[in-house]
Amino acid sequence: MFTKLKSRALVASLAFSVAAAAYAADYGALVTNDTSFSGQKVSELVLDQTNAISAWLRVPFNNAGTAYFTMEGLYQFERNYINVSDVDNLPDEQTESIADIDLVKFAAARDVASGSLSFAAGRFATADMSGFVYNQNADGLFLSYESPVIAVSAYGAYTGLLNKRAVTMLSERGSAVEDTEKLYELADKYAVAAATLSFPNIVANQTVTAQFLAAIRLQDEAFNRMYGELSFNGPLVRNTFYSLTSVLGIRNYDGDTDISNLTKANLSLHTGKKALTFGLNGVYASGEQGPFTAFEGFTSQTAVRSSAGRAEYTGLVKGGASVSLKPVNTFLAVLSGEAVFDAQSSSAAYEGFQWQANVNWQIVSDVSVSATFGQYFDNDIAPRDKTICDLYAAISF
Amino acid sequence: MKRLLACAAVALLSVVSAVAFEATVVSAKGKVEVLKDGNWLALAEGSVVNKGDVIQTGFKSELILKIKETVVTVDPLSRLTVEQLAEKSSQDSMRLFLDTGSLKSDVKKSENRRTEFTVRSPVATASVRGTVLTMRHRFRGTDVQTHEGLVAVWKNRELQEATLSTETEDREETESGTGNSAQDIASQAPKGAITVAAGQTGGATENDAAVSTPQTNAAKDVVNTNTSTERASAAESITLAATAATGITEHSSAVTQIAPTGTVVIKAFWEKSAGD
Repeated sequence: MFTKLKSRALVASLAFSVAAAAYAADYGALVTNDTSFSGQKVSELVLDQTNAISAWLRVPFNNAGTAYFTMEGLYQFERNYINVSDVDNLPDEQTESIADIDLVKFAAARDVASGSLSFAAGRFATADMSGFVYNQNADGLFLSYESPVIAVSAYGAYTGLLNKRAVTMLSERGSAVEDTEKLYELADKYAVAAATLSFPNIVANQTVTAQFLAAIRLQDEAFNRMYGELSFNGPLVRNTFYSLTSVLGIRNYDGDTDISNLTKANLSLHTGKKALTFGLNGVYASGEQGPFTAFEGFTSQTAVRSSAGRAEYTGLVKGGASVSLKPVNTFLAVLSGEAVFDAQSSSAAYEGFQWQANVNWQIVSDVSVSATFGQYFDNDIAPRDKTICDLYAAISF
Repeated sequence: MKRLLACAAVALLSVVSAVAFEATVVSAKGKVEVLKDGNWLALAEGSVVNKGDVIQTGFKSELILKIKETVVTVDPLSRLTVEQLAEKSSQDSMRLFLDTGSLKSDVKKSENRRTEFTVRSPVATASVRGTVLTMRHRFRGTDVQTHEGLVAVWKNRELQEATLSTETEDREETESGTGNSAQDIASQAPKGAITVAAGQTGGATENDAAVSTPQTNAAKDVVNTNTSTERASAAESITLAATAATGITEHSSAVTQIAPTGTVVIKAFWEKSAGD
């Protein structure tokens, strides 16, 4: 009888704990619509519409909210309309669906000495220091210690359980081929690890950061990529800030090793009026120059918004300017333009020009809309020109 | 008798070494009150504010205080404590604790005297050497915006409450260097303190380990800070080096690091700074 009482007490305690945690849980959903018109010419734009619904849950484990569990699931439906006058044998429209669990994360943080120790485990998005090498989801662990004089972090992750339909990783074969009939398809297997050391405000508010990232393929032939990154950033004078980051890439495939480089620089001037900010940006991604070969990151990134041809950060130089304005706190407008130069060989040649205007309006706290209009003009090959008009709306509840 | 003379000498020395002075209300609009003897009393133009007084402003209210030559403007819905008003041998020391709300200080020194002006919040401390700054503390975060000169800002190791200055603090003068480092501006500034120049904003939140640099703040100004219509996966993403702010890039909205609780530091708007 006593054993029965103990069991009932235990069950009741567990039920109470779950109920208490559930009571404190926060949850919601987000519905988005992304309507895009794109094509080589303004008169030949093709409609691509993506609708998505995501649901999220967050359970805090303490009052301060420094330890919590959160997760999110997503279903996305995309419909792409083909211009009927251009094709005879293809269907009028193509549809694709994706289901994904894009977030499962346990996070905790606590003060230690003069700093803060943070820990995260599960599936969450991470980006490297440059933002051009690794910028995606993965299943792993993250540990960091941050204090006013030093910040260190370590990261380890595995990509084999991700949905290949939701993340694009580069390999020696380009990006992986997807089976568009499947809602969820397992991605290629890589182990990713990164370590970061940063000295904030080392002198005159300047920050120096060093990072090492490695991506090791765990299937097929050995294909390993390592990246050493160094970054300097800080204020120059008054409202002007700079950022300079250089990445040395080391790639080993089938016994061959080559090195490559990506360097980016940014200068921004913040006027202080309505968040009016001017920026100058430059990126160099090596081609076949000197000791370097073509740069290749890990996560696919869009460098050139062209209709065909190269789009990744490899063998190119980009330089441009941007301006942003927030006339009111809920409205952000950004205008940018950049020239692209082909740097696949030892000499650089002007390749094209792209520009983009984006406005984002947070109508109310739960509703936001944005509109983007952009074009790319290729210097030589007209079919590479591209015009994009994108409308995006999000409602949360 | 000797003992009596010694006590009198000590008392006289204390009085000579540290004299408490008052602040004067220059303007009081709307509901402006001071806590005295457990009661909230209305403040009016010409009223006097002393060390230890707690002041609060209501909705659509404003208070302007004159502390020696320094002018402090307290915004609506603010509460502050006067922690120190001490006149030392060659230095005037003023210290305010901003419990909530915002205040703007135009710090000017008196003739032939140094001025030490410090504003503390639960999260951060700002110390100036004769300059104009605005401090805002809301939603567990503090912003310090500099309009002129340089301000030393650092994150408090623990959450702070209002603490009146001790007799020693009121008596002893602090050293300050002639350079522009945080320690030159404020000798008590710890390692990791930053300087915030004219036109810049620094700050900290409860969950930050360090103070937020002007560059990080400036970069956050140009992205959408409302995460309600963002996917949870985007809001929970981690940049492996949060200090590598890059301003406006095509990646600026892709990854945003936020504190574990989801607190997003609310950035102050910029004001055009006067020339140095």
